Amino acid sequence: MQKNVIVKFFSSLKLTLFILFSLAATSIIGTIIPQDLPKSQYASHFSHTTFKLLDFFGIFDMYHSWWFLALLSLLIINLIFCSLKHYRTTYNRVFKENPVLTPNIEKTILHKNSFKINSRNFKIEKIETFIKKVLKSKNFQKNEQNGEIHYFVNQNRYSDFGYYLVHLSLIIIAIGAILGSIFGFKGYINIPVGQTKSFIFCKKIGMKELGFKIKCVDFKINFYPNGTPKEYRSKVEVIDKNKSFQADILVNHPLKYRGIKFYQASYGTTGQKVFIVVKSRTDNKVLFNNEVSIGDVVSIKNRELKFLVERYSNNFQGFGPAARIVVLKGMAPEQNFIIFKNYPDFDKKHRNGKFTFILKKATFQYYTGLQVSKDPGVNIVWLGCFLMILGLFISFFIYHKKFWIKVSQDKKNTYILFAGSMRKNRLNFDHEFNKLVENLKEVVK
Amino acid sequence: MTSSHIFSIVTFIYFGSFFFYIIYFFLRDKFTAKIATALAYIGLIMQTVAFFLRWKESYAMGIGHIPLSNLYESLIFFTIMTVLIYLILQYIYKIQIVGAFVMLFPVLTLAFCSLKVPNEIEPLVPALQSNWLTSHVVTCFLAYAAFAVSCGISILYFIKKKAPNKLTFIPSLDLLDDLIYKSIAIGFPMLSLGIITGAAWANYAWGTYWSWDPKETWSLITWFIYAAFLHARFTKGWRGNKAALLSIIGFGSVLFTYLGVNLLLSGLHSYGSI
Repeated sequence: MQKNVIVKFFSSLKLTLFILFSLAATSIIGTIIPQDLPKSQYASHFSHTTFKLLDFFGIFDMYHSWWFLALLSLLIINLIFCSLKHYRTTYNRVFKENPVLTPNIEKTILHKNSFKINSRNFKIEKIETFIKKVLKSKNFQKNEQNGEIHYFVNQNRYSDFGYYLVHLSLIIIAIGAILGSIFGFKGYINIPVGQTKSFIFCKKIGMKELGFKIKCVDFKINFYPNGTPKEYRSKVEVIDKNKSFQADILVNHPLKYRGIKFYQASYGTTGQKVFIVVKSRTDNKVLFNNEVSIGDVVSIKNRELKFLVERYSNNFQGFGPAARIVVLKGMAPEQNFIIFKNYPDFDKKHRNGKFTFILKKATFQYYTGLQVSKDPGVNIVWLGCFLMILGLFISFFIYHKKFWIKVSQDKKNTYILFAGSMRKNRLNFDHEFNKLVENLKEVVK
Repeated sequence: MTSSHIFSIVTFIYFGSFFFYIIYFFLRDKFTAKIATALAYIGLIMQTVAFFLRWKESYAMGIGHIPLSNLYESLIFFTIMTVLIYLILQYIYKIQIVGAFVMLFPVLTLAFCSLKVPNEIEPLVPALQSNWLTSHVVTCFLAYAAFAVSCGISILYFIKKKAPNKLTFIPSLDLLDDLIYKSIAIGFPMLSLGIITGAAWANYAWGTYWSWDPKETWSLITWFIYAAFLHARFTKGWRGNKAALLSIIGFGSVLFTYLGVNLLLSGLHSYGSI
């Protein structure tokens, strides 16, 4: 008894609707509250109690929270129970046939039409022609019983299993997703041009060895004439124990090596250096002529000058490359000014002081940001997806139809009873059936 | 004449079609239905021509790509698909009576396009340079269009429900219920295909087939709602009223997936950068 209650609960369609609505409604939350940011950001945005409450329900990573995963599992359990519950009925519908149209069966059929014709004009072969030509069925059953001939056509019977395929596909997709999350990983690396890396950074587990090395040989961005980016291209070299090779990674063109895929995800600049010239104002003597990293303090000892390049901009307010220089006295900033590459005299003309500064050029390096992932479950997911589409098309667009034709004769007349049934799409079948009746009458005459 | 001009003209043609469908709705004069249908066909042909013209224009600009890359182009494509799906359904099921309720969507969409949406042809950013673009967008929009049709019929369902005996010129509730189901039966496999092609593309471009970003999540929410609709049909007390309501809610979710996520949630997401 108790077992029945449990089975009834898990196999109920009301539960299906409840789960689907719950999933739809709760999924909205994660589209409004950004997911998976550092906890501190949420803590500063919400009040303490709200934060604790939301955190308890895993709202900040809600699609992986216990209750959301429980809902998804419940959906899978529900569809397994439902499929098992209805299996008998579906099995009978597909495999159990009633090739003889007994009065009892006749009563249950909605679409039927009987007519009589003169026996002299009738040939039984015409019925078979109708089945082959009009119903387009090669397979039919013919039975004789009590002097009546019964024809039976069973079309597309397997389409009744279509929705099983859809349910099965969801289970397969779930398996693929679980395998991927257990045996796969996701991470990223930033590689400056010219450098080689052998590990990636994963969010969950931290550093992870690749088992081989990857070097960024070059990184390029191309632009359209209107300035929008056209192409991001990383030229990389994969270096393994026995072999090494070069490859290009572009957006939409990942590199796959030993089951691990590398995707072009981002880029940036690193190791920025500016080339600065410092002269003495009085005699124009060059005191310093070298590359400087941003933030490094440069001191020219015999002249008691200490400065650093605080910032560099490729295009400062439309005036081109510019650098902000801070002159220090001891450790404290004494002066703070901007120099421009395109206006070498600017500093000399517009600022007083013992020294003049000139910005010669700036160099920097690109780094490429690669997304790295391995997902051994992905092909199982694709298999599931394929089966889902197949199942959906079968269950929506292929209809299981049954037709019966009963022929009985006396000396004068031949009586024909034509009956048909289609479980889905009944309104459509009205129209189709009426047409078939017309066709049948035409063929037998 | 450029493609954008043609699209603007089609707005008026579709409005004409909508207008005659309304007259037909009230007067049941068969001739007006024919004019409405003819206008819809003319509009559809002109739009299709303009679609290819825009494709050609993009090549002339040296940035050739199928015109499915920004909001304007996708809205245009949405109207093409809606009218196409509707005309197919009308051809098969003779449902001229719901014409006005369906044609309203392309009219409003095109008017919105002409007035509010920038129509420049833009080059493809790297993320969109993929063969998946076409199959993904086409399947999604076939689904959206089918859902738009089912929503239109659902509205008609509720009008008929108000006074089933007076409004004899509207098809029976049974037939409307069936038509709602049929358009969703087209939409649902298409939406599934759209989500799957999107996932395949995401996997190819970013290395993950599902990352719960708002667009993906909303498409899944839509999928859940229509899945509920399909199961509701086998549940006692869920046919008819509730099914029609679900189909309207479902289309609301479609609109949010399509437009709301981009127009509204991006605003909310500025919170993401605190």
